[in-house]
Amino acid sequence: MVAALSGLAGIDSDNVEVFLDRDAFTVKYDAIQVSLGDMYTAIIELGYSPGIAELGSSESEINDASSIPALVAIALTDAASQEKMLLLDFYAEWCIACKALDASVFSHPAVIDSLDNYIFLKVDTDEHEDVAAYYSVVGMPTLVILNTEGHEVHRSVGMLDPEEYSQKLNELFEI
Amino acid sequence: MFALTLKHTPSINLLESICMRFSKPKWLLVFPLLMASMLASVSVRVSAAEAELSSVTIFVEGMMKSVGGVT
Repeated sequence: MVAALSGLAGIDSDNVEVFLDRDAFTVKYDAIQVSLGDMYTAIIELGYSPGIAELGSSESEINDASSIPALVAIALTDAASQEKMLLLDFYAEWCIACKALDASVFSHPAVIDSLDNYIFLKVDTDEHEDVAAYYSVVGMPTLVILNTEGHEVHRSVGMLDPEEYSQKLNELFEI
Repeated sequence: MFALTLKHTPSINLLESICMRFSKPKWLLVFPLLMASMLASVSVRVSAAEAELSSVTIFVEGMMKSVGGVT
């Protein structure tokens, strides 16, 4: 896996850290030279599938595969009552990229202002693996925006420019 | 006359002193300084390039099952 990824332009093998116990790896990459799509393709060509393995029904809080996870359903009700949208931030304590996103994006004044129109729900993928699987989270940090009906209206994976993301948050709320 | 007038200016005196210092082979003293500044410039560029790297964590189903294939 490391060899395949470091074979891509913009990725150095020293910048790939594998978390075997979590079926995950963190990679630092040059976004100009390589995209997430390129990485997914490399993973698929190796015979693997990007994403979280589906859990058994006994481990899942979801009774019906089509129903929204309870954690999100509660936040959606809250969002609807306040006429806000819901922003889900899928992260993990061990996710370095997630910490970088917190430091650069969620502490940015423009983003903080834009979040006034959103209920911000951080979802720990270790604690709520079922929720991450429900929303087909493949990488972290993943930010998913839901409207008040619970429909996904936007998704981003990886690092973001804070000002661009602030603009996106404002645009989505105005639609 | 002009030169004499300048000699009374403290800043010109300082400049003259610096010129005198570098007019002899002592100019070689400047070389390490130049090299140091060039190296500093290069390291700043490398740091900037590193800072521009994006980072992401990707889940891969069943990766743990084939440890040999991962490393």
